[in-house]
Amino acid sequence: MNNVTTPMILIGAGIIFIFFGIIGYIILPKMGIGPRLTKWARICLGVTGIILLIIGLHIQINIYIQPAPTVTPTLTPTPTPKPPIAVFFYTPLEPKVGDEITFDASQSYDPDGEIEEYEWDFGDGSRAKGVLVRHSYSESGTFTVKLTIFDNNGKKNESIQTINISTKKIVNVPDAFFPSGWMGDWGDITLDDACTDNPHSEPTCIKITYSAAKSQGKGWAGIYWQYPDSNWGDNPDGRDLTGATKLTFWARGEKGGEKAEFKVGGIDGKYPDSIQPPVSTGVIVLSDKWQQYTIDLTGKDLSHVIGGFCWVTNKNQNPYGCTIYLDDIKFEW
Amino acid sequence: MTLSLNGSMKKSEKISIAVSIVAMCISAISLYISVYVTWFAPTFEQLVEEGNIHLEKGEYWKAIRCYDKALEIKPDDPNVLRDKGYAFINLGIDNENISVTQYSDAKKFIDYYFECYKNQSTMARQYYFERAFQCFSEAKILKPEDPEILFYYVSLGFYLPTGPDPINGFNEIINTIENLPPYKKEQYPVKLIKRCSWYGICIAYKEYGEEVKAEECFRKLNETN
Repeated sequence: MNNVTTPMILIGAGIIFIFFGIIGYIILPKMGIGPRLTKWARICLGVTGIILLIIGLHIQINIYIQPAPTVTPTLTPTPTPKPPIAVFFYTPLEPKVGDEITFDASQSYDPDGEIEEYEWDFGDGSRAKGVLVRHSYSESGTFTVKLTIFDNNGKKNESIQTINISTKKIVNVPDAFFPSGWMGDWGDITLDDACTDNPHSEPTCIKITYSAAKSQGKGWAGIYWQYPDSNWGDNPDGRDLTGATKLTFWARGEKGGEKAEFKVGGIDGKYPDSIQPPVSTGVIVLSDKWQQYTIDLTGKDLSHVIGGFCWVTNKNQNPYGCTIYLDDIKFEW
Repeated sequence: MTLSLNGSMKKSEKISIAVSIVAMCISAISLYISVYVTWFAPTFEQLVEEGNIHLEKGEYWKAIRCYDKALEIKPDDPNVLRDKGYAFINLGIDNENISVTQYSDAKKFIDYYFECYKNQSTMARQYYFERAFQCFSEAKILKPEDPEILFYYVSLGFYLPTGPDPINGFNEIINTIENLPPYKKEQYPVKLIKRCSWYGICIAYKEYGEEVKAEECFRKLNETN
């Protein structure tokens, strides 16, 4: 029996008891039908019927008054999709004009899904897509970089940072130093400092030809870019390049496979280079395509630079001579 | 009989053994010398390189010994003669603060004469300059168009009474340079030697008391710079 049936039976029983009480007490005796009930039997029937009726009604009322039972859902309700979280970093932290800046959004995440798209707005009119992108600014100033990410639920989020691009300080070696320090078999060297044959930066580059003929009987040759002209450490003048962090240059060989070494500093004498010993690339093999090389100068004393740049090679490295091209040789801060 | 025979055989044996030993020693020494000469003796290049190292270090006599050995192998090498000449020039200068070892020391060598050497000349130093002049003379014959060799050959004329006349000599260098192929004229050391030759002419005019010509010469030199 359920909760609904029980009070109905009680009510029904109460009504029957009362009915029989009334019937047995009033009607039947008048009609002369059936036995005549005693007084106490009639009272008991009536009272019992009333009690049963009250109990049944009470239970029934309680059933209706009680709140509806909580129905346990049979399906997990679908939560509201959450947006992804956009985070990005960039390096270097103090970028300068022309620096290649790496923007990295790999720390972005989506709490309930996957990031499907990364969109970048660099604030200078340039845009890009991807989790890891590179960009360089051609002008100094403050730019607003905006990263927008989209997840698989169609939600998006943005992260905005301002980036300060400072003016890059550079010193071009050919402007600040003279290619006056010809060494070794200088007769084997031909220097064209205004070569127009496929320069890296228009309009010209530097072309050096080494014949390996041992004109001076040395078996090696090189050129120092000096300041002042022809300063082998006997002149107190020099360039103060304090703060420069690197020297960069572009180089290529005519055919590829040409070997050479490039250096900064190292001239001794009465007033020697402050960079001692010289900082060298070591012997490198050039390709026939332009390639950039960097000489790290961090921590070096650049207060008195007289040998701003040096190219050197020898007959063993290039038995049949070589032709190399140089461009954009510069100190950078 | 046996004893005497044995005795005489022993004597002849001793002689033959001694001769054999001597022959073997001579052969061994010959073999050693030939092997050493063939495989272990320093080559011309090694001797020149060693000489250059001594020259850079200021060890001029050691440099000269290396160059002499190199010249025994290649007597007609103008570059070794030039470097030997540099070694003698430095012995003549006799000043550890001043070294002349390459084309870029050209002006220094002229200035040294007037600033230091002119009034301090000694017989010994004169002798070294003569030896240097001898080296550069031989080198000049072997390599008559080498501006560097020509320059020091002529410059030694300041130091030696019997040397070449500086004015004529430097003019000849300038003419020689003018006649070089264009790419050679553009070589920085060649341009420097040409400029130093002009400077040498101006200094020579001054030395000879021709002040007007000297002034004119210096004026032109400054204009070209």
